Amino acid sequence: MVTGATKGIGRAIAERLALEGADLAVCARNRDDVAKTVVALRTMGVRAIGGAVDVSDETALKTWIDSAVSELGGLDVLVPNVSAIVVGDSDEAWRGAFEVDIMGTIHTVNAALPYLEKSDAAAIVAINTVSALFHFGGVRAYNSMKMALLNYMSNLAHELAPKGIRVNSVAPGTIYFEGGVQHQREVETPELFKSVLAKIPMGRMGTPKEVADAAVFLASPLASYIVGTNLLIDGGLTPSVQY
Amino acid sequence: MVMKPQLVALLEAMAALGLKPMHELSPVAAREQLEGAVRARDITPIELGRIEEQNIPGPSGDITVRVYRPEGAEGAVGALVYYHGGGHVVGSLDTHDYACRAICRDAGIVVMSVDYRMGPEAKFPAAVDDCYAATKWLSDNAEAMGVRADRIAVGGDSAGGNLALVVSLMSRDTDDRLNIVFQLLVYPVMDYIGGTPTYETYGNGYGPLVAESVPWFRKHYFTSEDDLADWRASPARATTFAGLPPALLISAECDILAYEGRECAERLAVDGVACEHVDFEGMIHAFFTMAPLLDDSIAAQALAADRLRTVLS
Repeated sequence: MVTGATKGIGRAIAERLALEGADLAVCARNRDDVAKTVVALRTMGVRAIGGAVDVSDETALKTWIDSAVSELGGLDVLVPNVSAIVVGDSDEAWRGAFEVDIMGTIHTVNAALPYLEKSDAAAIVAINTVSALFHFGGVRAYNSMKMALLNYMSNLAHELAPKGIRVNSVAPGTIYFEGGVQHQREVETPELFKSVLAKIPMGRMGTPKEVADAAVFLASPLASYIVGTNLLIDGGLTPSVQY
Repeated sequence: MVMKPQLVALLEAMAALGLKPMHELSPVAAREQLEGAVRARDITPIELGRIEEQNIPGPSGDITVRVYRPEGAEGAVGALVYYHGGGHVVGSLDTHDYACRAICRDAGIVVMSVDYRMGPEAKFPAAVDDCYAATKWLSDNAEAMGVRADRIAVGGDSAGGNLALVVSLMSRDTDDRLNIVFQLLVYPVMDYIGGTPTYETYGNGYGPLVAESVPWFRKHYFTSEDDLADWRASPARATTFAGLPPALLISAECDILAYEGRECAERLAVDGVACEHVDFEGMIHAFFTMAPLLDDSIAAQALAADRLRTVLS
């Protein structure tokens, strides 16, 4: 199950999971985007279903998760991917980011947990960001929310490990795709875009697929002993020593 | 998830005929098997005012249509253009004769059943082109046919439901102004790729259609897998359903197509199309054409006729 799966990293993760033969339940707010994504996934030869869901609507979210799991007959992997990506600093920005990034994720996890507990290969992979880890982009809701989520996921990992549910995060750096934040930046503030690009040791931005490969690795039995980690996928952007 | 006892008994009787899954047969043998199974039911046909076959001009030779006219119909009446099911490979005017008669009688309308070309002899989009041409022909010749040009509906089951939706979409997007006022969609094939949960849940053991047969239909109907992405093949891929006529969507609970039927109904509603969705519990694919041997089939045909009577009168 991947939330926010019609574009960018979420879409790439859904497709990567489909490539591995996983049946998929995906959601996003835009119904037409969901329908197109579902068709694309079915074309890859797996069963796929979708819902037009806003994760900040707890009731609708829970209803959708319950019905999706019932339709597909179980849940093994949850990727709560939705983020409002709020870069503002107003009261409204903070509250909006909190509702979607924090409460949306918590409600997604809570609704999915009873089903994950029944799986013998249960995993949660959350999408974080390297901009939670060092000074990047200044004072804004996004970075702080992601840092809070990192703490939440880390504690969740310890709490759920005895139940056989592995919880991990991936932290993408600057990921470029059509219509994404970096693409917008390239068009609207090309100087800023260039300065960001110059900070990346690998000299390029990453692709959604590169994040998806790592996320699906963590979700898979190949990562069967990895719990509570935050895997950086940033081309070396993060300046601090990783440990 | 449990089939109704009357249906189980009927399926057991069918099993005694020793029918094979379609994908184990050639298209010709599969057609003969279906025709034979329908003939074996030995049903007394419903008497109507008039039943005539005629050839009408099509995009690639004539198309045979069978026109059912209700008893006592005077002057111009509404009409349903009906496309039979059978995965665009099997089925005929005969296999769907009882359903057409029942709808004609109970709705008091003309029913024109279309013997469209099928695969593998005529690949996609031949069936689509024939069905559209036949519908346009009735619209153009409504007066001569004793039909009201502003009271024409399209309908069909399974592949026929697929064709009905596709004809509606084509009509919406062209200047032909066919003025289709209603769609009868009985477990329509929305997307030939499958991939919905009900393909697994009801993939085997729920009547004559098994999930394993779908690739067989695809192989015979399409020239290449690329055709699947065409909305005329898989109408789920149409950009929007907005602007389509109101619809009655009938689905069967224990059908591999149940999930896409539900998706279709939801999408029609969200796109602003009045859609009444009636799911028949404990029923399977093809139940719609099992009347008069199955009560739910009689009920489904009566439901369709009732809505058509209301809309087309």
